[in-house]
Order: sequence, then C-alpha cells, then structure tokens
Amino acid sequence: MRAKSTIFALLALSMSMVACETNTQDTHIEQDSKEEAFESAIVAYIDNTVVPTYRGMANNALLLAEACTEIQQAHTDGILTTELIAEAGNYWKESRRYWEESEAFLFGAATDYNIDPHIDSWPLDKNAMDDLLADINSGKDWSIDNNINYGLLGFHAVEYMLFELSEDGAVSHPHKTNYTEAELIYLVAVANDLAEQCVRLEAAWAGMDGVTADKRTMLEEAELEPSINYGQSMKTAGQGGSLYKTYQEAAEELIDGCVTIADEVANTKMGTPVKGAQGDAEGDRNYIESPYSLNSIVDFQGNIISIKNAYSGSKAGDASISDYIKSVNSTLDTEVMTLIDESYDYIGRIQEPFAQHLSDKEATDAIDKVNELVAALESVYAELSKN
Amino acid sequence: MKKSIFLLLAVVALSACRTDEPATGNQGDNQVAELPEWYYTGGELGTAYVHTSHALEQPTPAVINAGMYQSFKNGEALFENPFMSNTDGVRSGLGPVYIRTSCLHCHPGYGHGKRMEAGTFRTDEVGNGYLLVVYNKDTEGYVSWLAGMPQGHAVAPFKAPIDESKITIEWHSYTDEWGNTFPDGETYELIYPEVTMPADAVYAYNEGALTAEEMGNYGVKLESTIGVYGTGLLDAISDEDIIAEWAKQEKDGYMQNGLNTSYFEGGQWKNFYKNTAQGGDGTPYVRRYTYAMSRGPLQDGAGANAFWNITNATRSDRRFHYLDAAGSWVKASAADPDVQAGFEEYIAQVDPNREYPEFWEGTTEERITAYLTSKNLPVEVSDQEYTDLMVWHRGLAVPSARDVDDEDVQRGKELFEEIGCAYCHRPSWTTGDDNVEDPARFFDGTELPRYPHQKIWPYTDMVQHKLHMVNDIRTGWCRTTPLWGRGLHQKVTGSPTADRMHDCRARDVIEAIMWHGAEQSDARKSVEEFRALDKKDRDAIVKFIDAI
Repeated sequence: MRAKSTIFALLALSMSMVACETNTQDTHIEQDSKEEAFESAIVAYIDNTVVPTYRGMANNALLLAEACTEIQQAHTDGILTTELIAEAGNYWKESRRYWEESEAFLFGAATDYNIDPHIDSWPLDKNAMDDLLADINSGKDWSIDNNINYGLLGFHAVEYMLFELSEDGAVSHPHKTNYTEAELIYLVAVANDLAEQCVRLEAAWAGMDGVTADKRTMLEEAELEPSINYGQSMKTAGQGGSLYKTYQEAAEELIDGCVTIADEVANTKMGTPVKGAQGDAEGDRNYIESPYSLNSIVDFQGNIISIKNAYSGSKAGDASISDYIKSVNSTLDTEVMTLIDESYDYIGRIQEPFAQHLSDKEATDAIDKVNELVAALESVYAELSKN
Repeated sequence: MKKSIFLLLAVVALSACRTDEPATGNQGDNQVAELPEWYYTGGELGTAYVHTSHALEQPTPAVINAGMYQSFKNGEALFENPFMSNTDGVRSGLGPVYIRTSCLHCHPGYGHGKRMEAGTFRTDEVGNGYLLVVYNKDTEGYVSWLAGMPQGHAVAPFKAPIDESKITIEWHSYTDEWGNTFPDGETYELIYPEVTMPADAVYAYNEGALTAEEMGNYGVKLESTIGVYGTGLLDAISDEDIIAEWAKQEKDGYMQNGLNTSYFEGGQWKNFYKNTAQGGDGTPYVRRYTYAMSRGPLQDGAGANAFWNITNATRSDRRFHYLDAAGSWVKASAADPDVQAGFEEYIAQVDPNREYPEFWEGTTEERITAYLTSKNLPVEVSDQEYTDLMVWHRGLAVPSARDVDDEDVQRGKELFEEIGCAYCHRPSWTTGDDNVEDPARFFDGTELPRYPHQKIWPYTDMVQHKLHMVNDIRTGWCRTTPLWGRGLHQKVTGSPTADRMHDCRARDVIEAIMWHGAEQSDARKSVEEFRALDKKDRDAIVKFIDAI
C-alpha cells in the first residue's frame, strides 16, 4: 500500500475513533483481555470458593442430621447425654459457618430455589411449632414437606432444639436432655430437611455429576434435582445456556453479591438492633437472628470471610477480581483488602451475647467500618462496569 | 512508521472517548458522556444502575438524599422476611387467617410473580404471585363470601377459608386467527390458564355456613403481582396529567373499545378513589394503581394495604382482621367444634391479661365471633415499622435501561413508536410537585421520599384498555402495565420464562405481543403492523422491550 493512502486510511480511522465509535481494534483487545481476566477469576471463584463452601455446608448438615437421629435413638434408649447434644450443636455451628461464608453468593440457587428463606428464616414460629408438636403428639397427620411455613424449618428451628440460654441470657448451653418424643420426631425431620436443601445447593453449583452418588440419590428421591448448573453457567458466560452474556456481567454479579451482604451486615444485621438499643426509633433491639446459640459475632465474621474469598480468592494463587482491580486501580484494591481485614477485626471486638452489647462503642464502630467496606466495594463495581 | 502513527492516534482516540457507566445505586455520582434521556428510567431521583440479580432492590437517590437509608433497610427486612404466628417478637401477628407469610412470596426479586405450572395452587414457596380472583360470572363482580384476596392459610385452631390443595390450574393451548404463524413462516405458541375451585374447597360451604345458592355462578381467574419498583415515581405523576391523558384518548377516539366509562366520560373523571372507612375524609383522588384501577395514591394503595391484609398483622390504623364481607368464614369458624375446642388456648395467648371482656364472656360461639370481628384488636405492627415499609416501598428505584447504544435496541425503539405501541405504552411522563398524598391520612408526606419534576420512562399511559384475550382479565378492562424493568424478570427470579401479561401466560415477548392481536383488541392495528415487519425488525422490537 502506498504511504499516502495508508496515512489517509489511518486518519479516517482515527477520526472515527475520536467520534467515539467503540469498534476499534484496540478497544476490542482491551475488552478481550478484561474478559480473560474476569473469566479466570470466575472459574477460580466457582471451583475454589463457591463449590467447596457449599460442600462443607452440605457435609456438616448431613452430619448434623445423623447426630440428631442419634439423639433421638439415645433418648428412646434412655441414655441421652449432654455430650451428644453438644456434638450435634457443633455440627450445627460448622454447617452454619459455611452458610455464613456463602452469603456473598446468595444470588442464583439460594434465591431462585428459595433455599435461603427455607433454611434461614427467623425467628422460629414458636407458636406454629407448639401447634405442630401437639399434632405429632396426638397422632394427627403431619409432614414438613409441603404446605409448611418457613418459620418451622431450617437452621433456627434446629438451633432452638439444640441450644438454650442461661437465665440471664449471657451463656448458651446445650439443650436439656428431657425432650419429649414429639420434639425429637420434629427435630429429626427438620434436620433431614435442612440437609436435603444444603445438598441441593451444592448440586446446583457443582452439577449433579459434581456431587457424590449418595447425594445424587438423596436429591432424586426427594425430587429436588436442580434444573440449572449455576457454576457452569457462570464459568461459560456468553455461551449457550449461560445466564450471563459476558464475564463482565458475571463479575458484576460476584461483586454485587459482596456489596449486598456487606450492606446487610452493617445496616440490617448489626444496624437494626444497635439503633434500637440506642433508642433510635428506626431500630429494634429484638432484631437478633440466632438468639439461642449466641453465634452472632461468628456469623457476621463469616459473612466478611465470604466477601474476602469472593473478592480475592480462597486458595493462594487463585485468580481473582482483586487481581484485576490491582492491575487497573491498585489503591482501590489495597483499600478493599484493608477494609475487609479491619471489618473482620472490628466485628470481633464486639462481645457475645450481642444482644447484651448493642450499646457498646465496639458495635457502632463495627457498623461504620463495614459501611466503609460497602462504599469501597461499590467503587469496585463501578470499576468493573466501565466499558 | 505506520505502526507508531496508528498507536499514537489510538491513544488519542481512546483517551478522548470515555463511556463510563454511572456508579451503582448508592453512589451514582459518576456522570457520563451522552446517554439518552430514556436511559434514566426513573429520572435523576429515581434511577439505579445495578443490573445484577438485585437490580430491582436498589434504593432511589431520593432515599439516600433524604437520609432515609436506615428506614429503607428496615422496611426491606419487613418486606422480605416471613411473619410468624407468635404473639410477640420480631414480625409476629400472622393470622388468624392469611394469604402468604411474607411480601416476598408474591414479589420474587421484588418484581412480578412467576408463572405457576399446572397442578394445585401452591403458595408456600416464594414466587407464586397469583391472587385468586373469585368472581360472579353474571355480574363480573367479586363474590362476597370470600375476601377479595382469599386466604389459603390459617393459624390453629382456625381453618383456612379455601383449601388450596383442591384448587387446580390447567394450561391450554390457543391458536390465533393466523395459525400462530407470521407471514414469513416463523411460528409461536400461545397458552392460557384456567382455574377450577370446587365448592368443597370452601370451608364455609363444608361447614354448612354457606349454600351453593349463595355461592352462585362463580368462576376463578388469576391475577399476578407486578413489581414494586418505580411505584413511587408513578405516584408522583399529578392527577391533572392523568386526567389529561384520559381526555386526550377520549378525544382521539383511536381505541375501538373506547374508554372505561365507569371511570371517565365526557372529558371528566367520574369515579374517584376515596377513603372514608379507614381514617380518610373522603377526599377524591384519581385512580392510578392495579389492573382494575382500584387504588389512588400509593400511601393507601395495594402495598400499603397488603402489608396488613396479606398477613392480617394489625396496625394502629387497621385494628381489625381482613375477612370476607358476607361474614361466612366467621360464621363457620364460630360454630366449628374443632375451633371451639382450641379457642381457649388461643385466646389466652392473644389476650393473656383479659383486657377484652367480650373475648371471655358469653358462649364460645359469641366469644369467637367477638374476637374475629373485633375492631380494636391489639396492635401487632408498629407505626414506625409501617413507615419504614412505606419508605422502602416508595423508595425502590427503577433500573436504568440496558443496551441503549445497541443498534437493534435503537431500531426497536423507533419501530415501537412507528407502529403505535407507544400510544398505550406511553414512554414517558414528567412528574408533578409530588406532595405525597395519603387518602388514609396516616402520612403527612414528610416521612417519605419524593420525586418532583422528574422525567420518567414507565411505558404506560395509566389508562385502561381491552385486549379481548381468551379467558380475559375480569371485566376485560386492564390498566396498561408499565414495561420498565420487565426485561430483568428472569435474571432476578430465576424463572425459565418471561411470565408477561396479567396471568403470566406469555413465556416471551413475542407471545405477549401476539396476545394483543384479537380482532376487537385496542392494539389490533399495531399487531397487524408488527406482523407485517420482517424478522429482523420484529426481533429489534423484542430486544427494545427487554432493554427498557
């Protein structure tokens, strides 16, 4: 090509670029390398954070269900001990730890299949539970499969059955051994239902072929097979069957999940009861989610870990959104990482029982700190959504 | 040499051509290059910029600016989480009969209900946004022996007015006059629901408190919820502007079904919304909400009332239960030996200090009746909670339009207007002063976020029309449903289908459009023109409708 016409062509091209058409070769390259970075981060996120978290949750929920069955058997045999109840309580705490560590990714199966309200609604509908126990006692037909309200199910129903508070509400103990038969029938049913939902969640992200044969059978028998492979969907953005048109969209979802849980921790889980305790009419000091196990602080820290894993990866060397942000705005990345660690620490300074320390300075400091994290994560979202 | 000029020019070009997206809803400070005004669907004060599965859950800038964020978050928790039948504690007061345990149940993702597959009418899982419309086929009015929104659940010892396990939904195929085929050969499918409710699904009938004759020639239809987002913005449109739109359409005479003369005739609005029974003073307001345009201002609208009547959790301004007007459920319950047997324990929990002598004196039947029909029950939801809920309700942002620079979307927008869709699906309005009216006089307006003088893009004319669909909506009149945000439905709910139209019958936009095509439909001409377009143009319109 002759030099003059080449330059002319380049000028024409450059003028069209200045006129803000986005289809330039360089923008494509930039976009492609962004997509590549996001793809690596998403694959690591699914394989090393999401699926292992749900797997841990499911496995512990299965152990919990087994332990509840053991409690029932021991009770029938007249040999139930506090230790056995405490052991079940530990499986409850472990399973719940994984749940809290999954709350940065409540989008997808946890929402679409209503697993979140199914396993985590609170408070326990104690009134409905008493009615159900009466039905069980009197030999009436009952089930917890269909037509039962979420207030009778999930973590908090099991919590009520495994833990109790001291008189002054300051200490959580294993539940007394003197259960009624109906209570244990209910407990075993609810614990098994919880395990099924946790397994469903794992299979929804790992795929049915990504879980053990036993878990597959469990889901098939309960007719709870997931219809979408959410993990696959996110890992194959832009391809047929994916819910995401681009990896950028998937990355936005990932970060928005973090924003949402951080905001909820700061302003709802901590904010609502703390403000209520300070006499702010906009608060409600009774708004404490896990009142019997006194597990709130651990729960909130679990949520922060969830954000950390989602944002910067779970295993050393994992590709992550943090890597990308570091490459385009390293100040912001440092800010986010610092605020994540600080949020974890600040929350850790609040004493249990949370209900009795709502007015402490540590509580308001933690809320402010987590709100700073929210703002930083929103900046990350803005950075990701740039074209 | 060639290469370095190219790179130099490229650097210049790229740095001159920033097309930043605005930041997310909570900040929104990053203003941008030339985005068209229809990108800002809720105006400056009512738009959020998140398009993830939480797209419909964002607070408006107005909420943030007014310092109402904590209130918004509290209200959100009340909307999302289930109520319990406990008599105290967080979210207590469910029952004695109720429709769902939470608002989220009917508004998955804070939006439109999901289509329910054939089978029994199941409402325990989140997602089913259908209300059962039980009506008299001769008068087309709601029956009096069930509440307008019939309750399928009860708290022991009471029993639900309807047994949902006996109510069935079936889906039928429909073939339109064109054989469900476009001139170029592309085909589509159309389905519609039918609901059956046998008499023995009705508790009062089974108890002998209601006769078949009294039940009359009844039928059952489905009406789904639509989204909560943007309702505050629609509320900010002035009454005068809505009247002007109705007047204009009456004058134009384009609609073959005319206007609904129950509401509007001879240039005048006829049948205003008035609240006289529940705190109001009868001030007339133009109707603006629900398919049937049964509600006026938002503060006494579907949501404000649903917060009470879905769960039957009482408020200071609603110290009574939502029940059927004919009193048939109360009659059946009071005489039911099972209810009588359980009433002592129940009432001891509700009124432990015996503050209501009428609940404790007289025959059991009288006592049950007194409790169920009481007009000054203990308050279960505080005024602050109700205010928080309304801050959230009025404060939900509309997601900004997506893909506005996509050529097909832009072409679709042009065609949407060219073929006349924009007549009923009027693209935009400018809101008025928005003084926040409350027919029930609970709110004085200062408690809630406001949206004065905003240019908004809801794609509705706020007028009722008729589509003459098979198994049509009750009475056939239907307010043009706002199209904003609907393209995000599947993302925010996980539904496999688009679930458009009032009963979610349309699984995608094409089906929704073709349901507008009946010979006597007000949209007939537009559908004829749609059919005459080539596939590329038809797809462009679909893309546009999903993008807004």
